[in-house]
Amino acid sequence: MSNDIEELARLLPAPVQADLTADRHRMLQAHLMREIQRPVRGDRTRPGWRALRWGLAGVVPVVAATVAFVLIGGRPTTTVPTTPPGSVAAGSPDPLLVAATNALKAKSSGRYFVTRKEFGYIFSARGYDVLGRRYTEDWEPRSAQARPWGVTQHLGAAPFGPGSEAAWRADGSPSAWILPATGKNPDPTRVTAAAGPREPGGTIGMQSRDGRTILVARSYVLGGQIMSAETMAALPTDTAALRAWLTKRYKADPDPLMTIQDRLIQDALDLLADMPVSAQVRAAAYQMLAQLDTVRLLPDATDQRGRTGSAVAIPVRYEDGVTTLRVIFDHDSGNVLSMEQLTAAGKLRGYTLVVGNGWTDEQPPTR
Amino acid sequence: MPRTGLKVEIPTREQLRAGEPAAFGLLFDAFANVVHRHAVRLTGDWSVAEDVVSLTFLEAWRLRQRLLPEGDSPLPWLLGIATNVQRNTARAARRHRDALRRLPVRPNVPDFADELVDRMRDAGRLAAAHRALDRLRRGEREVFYLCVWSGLDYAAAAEALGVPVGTVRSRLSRARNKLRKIVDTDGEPRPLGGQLAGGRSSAARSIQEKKR
Repeated sequence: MSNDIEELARLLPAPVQADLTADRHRMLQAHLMREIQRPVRGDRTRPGWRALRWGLAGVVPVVAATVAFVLIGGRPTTTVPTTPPGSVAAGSPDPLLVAATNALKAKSSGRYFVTRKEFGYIFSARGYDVLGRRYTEDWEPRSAQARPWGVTQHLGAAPFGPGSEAAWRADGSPSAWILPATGKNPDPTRVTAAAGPREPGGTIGMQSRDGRTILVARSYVLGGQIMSAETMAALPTDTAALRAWLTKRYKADPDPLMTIQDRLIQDALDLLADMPVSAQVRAAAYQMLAQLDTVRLLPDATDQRGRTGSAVAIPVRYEDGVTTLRVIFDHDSGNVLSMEQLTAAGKLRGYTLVVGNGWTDEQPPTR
Repeated sequence: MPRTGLKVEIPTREQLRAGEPAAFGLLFDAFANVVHRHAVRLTGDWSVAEDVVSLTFLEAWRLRQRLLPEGDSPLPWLLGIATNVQRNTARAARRHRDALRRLPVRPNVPDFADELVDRMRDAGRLAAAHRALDRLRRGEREVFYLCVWSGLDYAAAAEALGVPVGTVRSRLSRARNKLRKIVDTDGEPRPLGGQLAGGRSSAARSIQEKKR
């Protein structure tokens, strides 16, 4: 139609013909339809569905959006994440902020801070994946005089994923696997299918002295620095102040591999899942997460112990193909339930499940 | 869906202005891919492009009453919104922050190896085109994207950008003059002064082009 346009199209033709895939098209459309029908505050009349003039009724049904990835798991409690029509309810507030409010209800101090975790790690065997699990329980005393206490236990390992059990049988039904040495673990590791005994340890530091193993208080790192108990107790409880406190430390000690936002996410998660801090600081950590653009809300999810909660996705930079951290949390209690490492295709690679953490005035179990 | 070749119903301006949700569903069906292609070509980033698609339609909803009742296809209006969203994506994202948070997460990497190879090749071509287009002024670039790559005519581009038709015409003309000098026949920008490494090989390539 015009010489200019034609000539330009010859000089520099459009290099890419990038259409949305059918799935993404459907999802984005469903998202749009949900958003424009969300009631606006003060607007009591929502636009209703009306058949168009030429009689095409129900042209765009509000379909349940399917999350882009599927959790591939072998356990019956694992569910394919979908959005039931009510779960991201119209006008519902951000679950992270709800969690922040409810986190304030938790006990803020005590004799010990107890953390119970299950670590799941998935490795490849001959033609199938295996999930190994380890339990740790740490009792961190508030007072420097009291002794820390901890246990650790290998919970066993089993074939993981659809078709894995058959492949395991074809492999001769092994009762143990050998993980080869890696850069991080210089010795090969033997992983048994059977659970092991409870052993002293936990994630608390252990040192060998004169042939004895003793437990030492573990150290916590926040903002790139090792934290003393006093510094932890003095952390700012206001969200902006906490963020500023952390950012100041990142800038003083730059990390070439992680952006400031990455480090904020990591520290926020550590505060929530790992650290003996007050309820106010935990609430601030939730609010910090809620403020970050890269933290995206997902449909409700179920962790590997069958507990359901709200979920957010955080893009991460790991090796071996892990691209997303899915954090599942209970917004009613303010507790983090699980942090799962997922590949781009939605495959589970590993997880840290928080069985429970919090302050207590009780004494540790006697072995 | 447009790609099947079936004719897609386009909602009327009256329905869009009235805020009929079904009309916006049709708008999406008809034009989401056009907006997506436009966004990919401008940004070179498939993830950002999806956000641009979402933001464009969310803004279209928010600004539905500003759509003039007289006029033909709503596509120019929509691409004008997409252009604005791309000019200041951060602002649009802040405005619709909650809605974007509720968007299902997109995998970083395509599902299939073929898709990935295509994606990488496309990214290379796009980067080469951008090197040429970066030499244009923003106004010239915007009309280029709308007219040359998204198929709008002068009048439609004028409507999209809210400028007179004459402005579109002169911007395109300047773009053409500049790009003639910048782009050699392979679509690669010529090194300035021809002294940069590879200058000789691209000259050799263009000679071969002419011989063909």
